[in-house]
Formats: sequence, structure tokens, C-alpha cells
Amino acid sequence: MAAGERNIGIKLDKRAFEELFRSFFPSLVLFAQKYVPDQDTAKEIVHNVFLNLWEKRQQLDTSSPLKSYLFTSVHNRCLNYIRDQKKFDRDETLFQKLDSTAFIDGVDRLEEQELEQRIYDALQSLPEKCREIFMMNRFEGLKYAGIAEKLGISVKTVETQMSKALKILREKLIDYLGMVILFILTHLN
Amino acid sequence: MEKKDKNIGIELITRHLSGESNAAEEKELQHWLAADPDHITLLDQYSSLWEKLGRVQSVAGIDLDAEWHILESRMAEGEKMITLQPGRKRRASFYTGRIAVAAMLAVILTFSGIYLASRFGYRTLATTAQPEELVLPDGSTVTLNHFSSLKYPRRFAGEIRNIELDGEGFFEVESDPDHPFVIKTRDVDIKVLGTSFNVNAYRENAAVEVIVKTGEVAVTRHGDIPKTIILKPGNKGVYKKNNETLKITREIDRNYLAWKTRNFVFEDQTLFDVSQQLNKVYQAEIIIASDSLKEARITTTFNDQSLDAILNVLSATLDLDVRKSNGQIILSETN
Repeated sequence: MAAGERNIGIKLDKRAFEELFRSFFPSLVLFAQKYVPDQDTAKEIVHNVFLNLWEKRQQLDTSSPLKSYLFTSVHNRCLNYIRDQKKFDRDETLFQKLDSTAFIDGVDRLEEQELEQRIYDALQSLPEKCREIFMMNRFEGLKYAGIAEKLGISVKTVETQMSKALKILREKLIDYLGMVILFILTHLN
Repeated sequence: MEKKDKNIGIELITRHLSGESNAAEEKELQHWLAADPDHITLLDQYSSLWEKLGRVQSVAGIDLDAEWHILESRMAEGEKMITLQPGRKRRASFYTGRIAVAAMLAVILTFSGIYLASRFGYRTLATTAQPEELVLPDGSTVTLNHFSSLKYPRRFAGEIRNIELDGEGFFEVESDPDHPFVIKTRDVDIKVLGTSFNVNAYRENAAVEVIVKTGEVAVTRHGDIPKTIILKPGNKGVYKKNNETLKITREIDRNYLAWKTRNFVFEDQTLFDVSQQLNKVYQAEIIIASDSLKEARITTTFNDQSLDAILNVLSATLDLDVRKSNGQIILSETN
């Protein structure tokens, strides 16, 4: 059983807790980032939720799965953060954040989160070298030649690893790739 | 044949999506797409995949080891998080809020540069009871003493080779004058061009000590009025946390590197001093039973020997009784 499906009532030892942390930290940070202005704040909020869970692990007594406990806690803390900011912060962007995000139905957010978790996990499942190369291109915008130079490998290897990464990711995420993106075709023709 | 054709297509799609394809390849891709409706579906899927990956971009570089390390230490400290409390009184709220933000920032900063660094792919080496050696991406080597941690990038990018230290380490830095090597600690920064030196910056210690073996090292104190000292071989820079002074001295404990080398030179030192140094290096708990024995003097050297071998020498030289009990080592005079 995956860590997140465990119920809180089940004994949460340190090992299980670490497993839980490692499986959910990135997607919880991603989730929190939709509410708070920067990643540092998001991370701090998620850390606090885990710390709180750890400190209260003996007293927790509910039948809800840990996963929804975590997302609900992060959600609530983000809203508290925004509320507290709003009282003194004149920054317009925070008001906008509050208006646009605070009242959205949590269910949509959880479905979205599910997808993001899958994407993140798929990315993590790539062989290390393959992932490193892929991330340098996709996320850092480096050209093949630049990657090859940085890693001391050939451009051909970069190319092979890029195709390999995409093939693996496609297989893992095929269920989520059904949508036809028309503008690509328009662009090509 | 068909499979091979598909592979060519995937290569073309990959180049297209990753921004590597030239005009000829774009044309080739269009031909390939026109050949079979399935090809278009495939491109759709890859394009959708490419776009969806963007959703996790901001967290893809998170270093889970480092994050877990942070949480684990907070769990151990049983530290309470600081919650943001809005001011009760309307008038005061603006300032209270600012202070709360400052406090939050302080907490974020306290839990170290990992937060900023992990975005760019940082790793953390954290030692427990044993020192460990590590080769950094630029070829520099670090020996990290017990219960220390070092954050360093997967690769050094930019002008400065930045790393972060909590604890103690011995550094042998690859020379590269164009890319200064900077070790950040909580209180001081240490900047070098290529040299070897020891940094002792355990958070709980009252002082940060930097001892230079070869080359030159600049140590800069953090704070409102930064101050820098330049250390040469044989110098020790000491930053005292209580009065925030940063000074150079030549008083160097000759065994300062024993934690790494396990080489000791003792010259007419008291058994108490010797036991203190052994305790530090071997993570032992040597206890001397009587005050008179604590003052016994000893002159000897040890070269990378086990604690038991050292205890044998001590016991033979000073005619001691060595007894182990509950993890403690008790030295007493033989009757």
C-alpha cells in the first residue's frame, strides 16, 4: 500500500513518516505555490505541516487518509497565510491571489494535484543521467551542445537520452495525453 | 520497417520539441506526419507531454535528501514553528505584520540556503559518527568531520564556486583564479582561490575557526559591518560569536587535523588534555578516575591508530587500568 493511502490511525513510525514525506513533499510544495507568492514560503508551510503531523502523531485519531489530511492542512495553512498577509500587506498581487484562488473548490485542485504527482513521479523514474539531461533541456532551456559540453559527453548521447526520456515519459503518462492540441498542427502547417 | 520509421519520427519530434531542429528537419517532420494519421496522434501526445511537464518544473529540482535532512533536524529539536499572527490593534497591525514577516524570513533563512539552492540542483552530504571524504564537481576535495553537513551544487555554474558548511571540514581546493571558491557558514564566509585549510564552524560552538595549511584564505564576517581578514599558512582566523570579533592568531593546536588524519603529537601534555582530544576525534567518552591522574604528563605520538591501540600505549606508559563500562572508558591507577 502506498504511504499516502494509510490511515492516520495506523502507527506512524519514523520510517513510514520519511516515506510519506518523500512521496508528497514536491507535490505539496507545488500545491502550496498556487496560493502563496514564492517557493520558499510554500516549502516552509509544507515543512510545518509535516512537523505538526509528526508532533501530533500520537493524538491523531481520524479515519481519513493521510494524503487528504496533508493536502487539507497545506490548503488551510496557505489560506491562513494569505488572510494574515491581507490584513497588513498592501501588495496588490496578494489580493489577487486571494481572490482568484482562495475560493476555488478543493476537489478540482486535488485532481490537478493527482496529475502533477504522476508527472513528477514519472520524471523521477527516469534513469539518473537521462533525467539530468532531460531536465537541463526542458527546464533550464540548454541546447544539446551546451549539455554535452557541461557533462563531457557527445551531442549524439544527449540526443539519444532526450528521445529515451520522452519515450519513457509517454508510456508512463499515456492516460493523461489524450487531448489534441490543435495549435501545434496549425503551427506546423 | 514500421518500427524503424516510428523511431525516426520520435527523433524528429524530440528535436522539434526541444528546440534543436533546423528547417530541413522541420520539413522532414511534416512529411512524416503527412504519411500516417497515427503519426499526428503521436505528435499530439508528445506535445501534450512536453507542455504538461512544465507543471512540475518549479519542483523538479527539489533535493529530497536535503529537505528530509532539514525536517529531521527540526523534528529532533522539537522546534515549534512560528506562525504569523496579525496584529490585534488596527494601528499596530502594519508593524506587527512586518515583524512577523521578518520572523518568518528569519526562519526560512535559518533553515539554510538549501531552500534557494535546491532549485538549482544542490546535494547535501551529512555525516553522522564517521568523517567522510567527498570530491566536489570541480575536483576539490573535502573531508567532513562527524555530524557536519555540506551543501554543494551538482555542478558549479557562474563565477563563484559556492558551497555551504555546517560543522567542520578540511578543504583542498582546486586552483581556479577565475572562479573563487566560497564556503558559506552561518557567521562567516571563507573565500579562497586554491589552497588547503580547515574550517570548524559547528553551530553550537562559541567560535568559528579557520586554519590555513597552504595558500591564502579570506574570511568575511557577516552582519551590518562586514569585516574581512586574510589568512596565510600557519594563521588561524577566529570569529567569536559572543562579541562578534574576527581576529588572526598564530596559536594553533598542532593536532587540529587529527580528526581527519588520526595523527597526534603530544608534548608534555596532561592526560586530561589528551583524553579530551581523543574523545573529540574518536567520539569516545574517556573518563579519568582521579584528579592526580588527570595531571599526569605524557609525551608521545600516534599515527592513525585505533583507540584501543592508543589506550594500550597510555596504559603501559602511565601504568593505568583501562576499564570499559556502558560505553565509557575509565582510566584509573593500578593498585
